[in-house]
Amino acid sequence: MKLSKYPSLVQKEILENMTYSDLFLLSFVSKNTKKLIKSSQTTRLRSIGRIVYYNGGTRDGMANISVKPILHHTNRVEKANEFILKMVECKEDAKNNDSFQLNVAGKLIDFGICGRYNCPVASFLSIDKESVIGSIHNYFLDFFGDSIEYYWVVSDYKLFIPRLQNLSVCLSIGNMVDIADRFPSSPVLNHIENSFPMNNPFSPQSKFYQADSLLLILNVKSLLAILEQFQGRQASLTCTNSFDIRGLTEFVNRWKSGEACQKLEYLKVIILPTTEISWTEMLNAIGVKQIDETKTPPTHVLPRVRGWRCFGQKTDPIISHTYVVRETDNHVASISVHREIFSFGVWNKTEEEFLAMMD
Amino acid sequence: MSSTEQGTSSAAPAEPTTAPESAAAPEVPESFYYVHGKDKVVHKVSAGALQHSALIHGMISNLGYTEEQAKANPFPFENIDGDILQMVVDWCNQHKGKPTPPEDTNLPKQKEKLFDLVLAVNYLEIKELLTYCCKQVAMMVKGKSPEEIREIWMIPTDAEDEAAEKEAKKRAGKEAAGETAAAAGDAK
Repeated sequence: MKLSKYPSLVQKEILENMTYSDLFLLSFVSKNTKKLIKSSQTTRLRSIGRIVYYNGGTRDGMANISVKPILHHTNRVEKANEFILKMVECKEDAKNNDSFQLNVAGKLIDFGICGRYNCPVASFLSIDKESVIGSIHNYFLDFFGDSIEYYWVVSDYKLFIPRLQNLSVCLSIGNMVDIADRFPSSPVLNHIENSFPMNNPFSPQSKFYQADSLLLILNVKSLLAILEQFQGRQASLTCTNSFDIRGLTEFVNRWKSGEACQKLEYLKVIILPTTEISWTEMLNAIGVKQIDETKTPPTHVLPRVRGWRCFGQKTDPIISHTYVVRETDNHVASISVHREIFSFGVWNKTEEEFLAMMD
Repeated sequence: MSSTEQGTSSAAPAEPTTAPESAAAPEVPESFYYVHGKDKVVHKVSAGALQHSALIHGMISNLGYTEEQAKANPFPFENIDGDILQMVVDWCNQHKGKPTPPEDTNLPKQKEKLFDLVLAVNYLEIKELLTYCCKQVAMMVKGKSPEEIREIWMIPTDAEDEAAEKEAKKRAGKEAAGETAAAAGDAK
């Protein structure tokens, strides 16, 4: 059976029925085959939104294409990810008889096929880890293109982060204890999230405050530290103990004066439901302005920064008659307070432009 | 399954047996057409079954043949092997008037048969069957190493591609030189 004897439309249809991991392997057969994949699968390759490398956790070493999950009426989720390959560290004597070598962006790497996922597995010695991952990433940039978003998601405490072109680093760790201190020379992260309450704030010099996005469960002390020092764009913070609302008042006043959070686009703070909150007192203290009650306020919604996931692609919409204005550039932020949720959405518009949206 | 008997290359083929009808009998008598492949075995196929093939459907839609005319003028597909055409006819009969299932497990497992079937189906423009076949061809290399894929699909190496390209260039150069010489000869 000679693939080249088929008409090009048939070749295209065959390739369309192959998984990304099979296309990846096929691309090593010859230069012409790689060209054929790239030319006949242009639309498919362009439609890839993101490629995610997992470091730690149950998906440790997997590189996959994160696709929108198909949710069946039985709540069964189908096809949330398509694996491209797996990367594993191995010992020198752990060579498999079925392994084969591929020249990946100039580096010879040992591969095998993982029976469970039917996808290629790149194995390497610990000392080669950085160069192997670098070569694989460079190959992906060439094969899948550099317009795709590439994410490196760290979920373990070893915190291995390769420094590579076009790679956004995300930290998704259960417990943040001491992480920031063990991570002194970290690059600026794309996103940080945890699942257990953070009881100690990051050290004041930590680059974690510069992360583009935060999704944290934290205590009051850590929350106040973030409100004071956050330099990123989006944050969703859930406070696990009772909270003095003055922390928020101070935050808004500093934002208004242009002193703090100049890059901030979106902030959501969820306060423990048992906390007694006097929102009216707080709104008075920050000097909010009101949109005419007869007018419908514009909806503030943005693409979420934490982009490696396919769900929750947008920030929660803020529709509020209440807003504040930053003194330095006259830009507006909508403020919504509802039960225990404080939402703050910054517009890239001056007050005049903002009000004109409702005319 | 449609049964067939050996035809001849003459315009009046031997009497073929009728393909079985699907369970629901049509209200209007159905029209039939005749096709044969390289082996000249004539297959009688209903117009309903032939609707799967965009090529044949396009050919017959304006013909208005009577039964006798159709029998006397079977469509010749000389580029398709008899056993492959038989497979295609069987598939069209089995799926006549039915929604096509998401998978078809009855496709040939042998590489060469599948290869010929893909070419025939592509030529006859049977979209659903082509999709099944292409899926099956794709499955042949699932989880295989690049060297195994090369072997299964007979893909040349870079060195072979380069040599073939060089050879093609050389041939083209020679042909061009020949044409120039011939043109010069004509001019004299």
